[in-house]
Amino acid sequence: MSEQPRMVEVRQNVLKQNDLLARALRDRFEAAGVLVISMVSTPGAGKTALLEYTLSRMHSDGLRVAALVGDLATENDARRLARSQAPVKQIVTGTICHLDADMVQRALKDWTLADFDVLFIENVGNLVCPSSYDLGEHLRLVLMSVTEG
Amino acid sequence: MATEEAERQGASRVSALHLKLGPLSGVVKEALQFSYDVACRDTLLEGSQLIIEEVPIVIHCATCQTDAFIESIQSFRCPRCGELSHEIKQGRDLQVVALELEGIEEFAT
Repeated sequence: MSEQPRMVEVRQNVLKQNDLLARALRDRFEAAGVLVISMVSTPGAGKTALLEYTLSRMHSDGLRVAALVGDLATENDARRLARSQAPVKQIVTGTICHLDADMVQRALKDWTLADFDVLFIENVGNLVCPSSYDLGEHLRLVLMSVTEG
Repeated sequence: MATEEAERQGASRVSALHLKLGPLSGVVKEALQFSYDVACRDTLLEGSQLIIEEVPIVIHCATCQTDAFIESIQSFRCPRCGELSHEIKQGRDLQVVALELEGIEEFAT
C-alpha cells in the first residue's frame, strides 16, 4: 500500500456527457433534415406566447412543425401549444431549472424526426443554467423582456 | 466521475479533488463547497478536500488579434482597444483536473 496520496490527472469536463449527447442529437437532427430551434428567456418574457402564434402560423402554412416544452411542474404550456394542432410534448423537469440533452433525447423517443421540418424546444424560463447546456439545436433564440430590465 | 476514476485506479479513498472553475460555468464556488461534503457522503470521496482553482475569463479580441483577461463578467470588452468580443476562450470551465488517491496497491515491477 502506498503511504502518500497519489495524484492522478483526470482533466474531464463535468458537462462532457451532455456535450456528447448533444452532438449525437445534432447528428440525428441533421440526418432527419429537421431544423431545431431552442428558445430561452427569463420567466414570463413570452416564449410560449410567441411559440403559440408561430406554431399555428407555420402549421396552417403547411409546414410540419412540432414542439417540446420544458416546465418545472405543469403541462399547461403543452396544452396551450397543442391548440395549434401541431404535435407538442411537455417535459416536466420537476425541480430542475433547465433542460439537458438527455431530457430532449428521452422526450423524442416516440417521435419520428423525419416527420418534421422544424422542431422548437422551449426551455424552462430562466437565463442562468439553460445557457450552459447544449441541446443539439441549430439555433438558439433569446427573448428579451424590456419591462424586466 | 471521480468515483469511477478512483475505482479504475484501484484506490480505496480519494483524499482530494482538484477542480477548475470559471466564472461563466454557472456554478457558484461557495454553493459547490457547501454541497460537496453532502454529495461525497457514503462514497470513496467521503471526507475529501475540494480544491478549486478559479480561472479568469479570457476573450479573444478580433481587432488586436490577441487574447486578453477581463475583470468583470459585466463587460466583454477588450482591455486594450475597447472592442466588444463574443469569443470566449476560457471561463466556462467546470473541469475535474485531478484526484489525490490513497490506498492504491503497489505492484513490484
